[in-house]
Amino acid sequence: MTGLRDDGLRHPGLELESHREYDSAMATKSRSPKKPTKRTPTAGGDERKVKRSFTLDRKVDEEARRRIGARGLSAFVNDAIKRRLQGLRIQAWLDEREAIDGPIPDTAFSRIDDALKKAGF
Amino acid sequence: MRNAIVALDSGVLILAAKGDASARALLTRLRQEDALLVIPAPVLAEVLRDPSRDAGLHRLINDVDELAPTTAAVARAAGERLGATGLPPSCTVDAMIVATAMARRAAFIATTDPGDITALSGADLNVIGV
Repeated sequence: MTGLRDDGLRHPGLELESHREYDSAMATKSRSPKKPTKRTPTAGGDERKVKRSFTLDRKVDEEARRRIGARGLSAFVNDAIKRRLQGLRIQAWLDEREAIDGPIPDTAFSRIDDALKKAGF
Repeated sequence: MRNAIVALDSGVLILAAKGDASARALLTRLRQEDALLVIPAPVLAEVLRDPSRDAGLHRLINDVDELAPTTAAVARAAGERLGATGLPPSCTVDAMIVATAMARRAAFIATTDPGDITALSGADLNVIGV
């Protein structure tokens, strides 16, 4: 495993030198009372940035640097996390709809599979 | 197709918000393929009417959380695309949806109106008819 500092912009009050500091800061933060936040849809990304430190498998780090370079890593990771988060939200939505509307019939999957195939998906 | 960017048109969003089985099957498959879902901004103008009755749509729009903006350049491209196809002015919003999806680099657009959307997309977007 290898430590990797994100090269995003600095966030006031959150300049950290190690993972331990980061974990400690986040633990402290998690004990503080939180104001409820409202997430609003973003158009083409949120321009506000925060600096984070995280750990990658050495093999993943080496391939990422080889394929996209160190400078593009933040955007790459941001995009990957964004996709995963959207996927989790959509899955939660699908689960809720299933509780309301029941399971999706096989006929609907067949219809959609045909449409996706026709579109070259 | 893994990791594709897929734009959703107004009809798909409305069906999904109602819990339609085909729309849910589509979102399930797109989720399984790690597609990034994108809503072109003109879709909002087509689907949102009454805040007191659009809760399902707002929920889905918030969960997708990827709105593609329609800039002046995109609007110009939409007009030119509409002119090239010979479709009537009533298809202006569809043209803006297609142009906005293209500007966001979507490879696919999922629609309940494959006829007009296919005509407007030409060879630039792959159309998923729902």
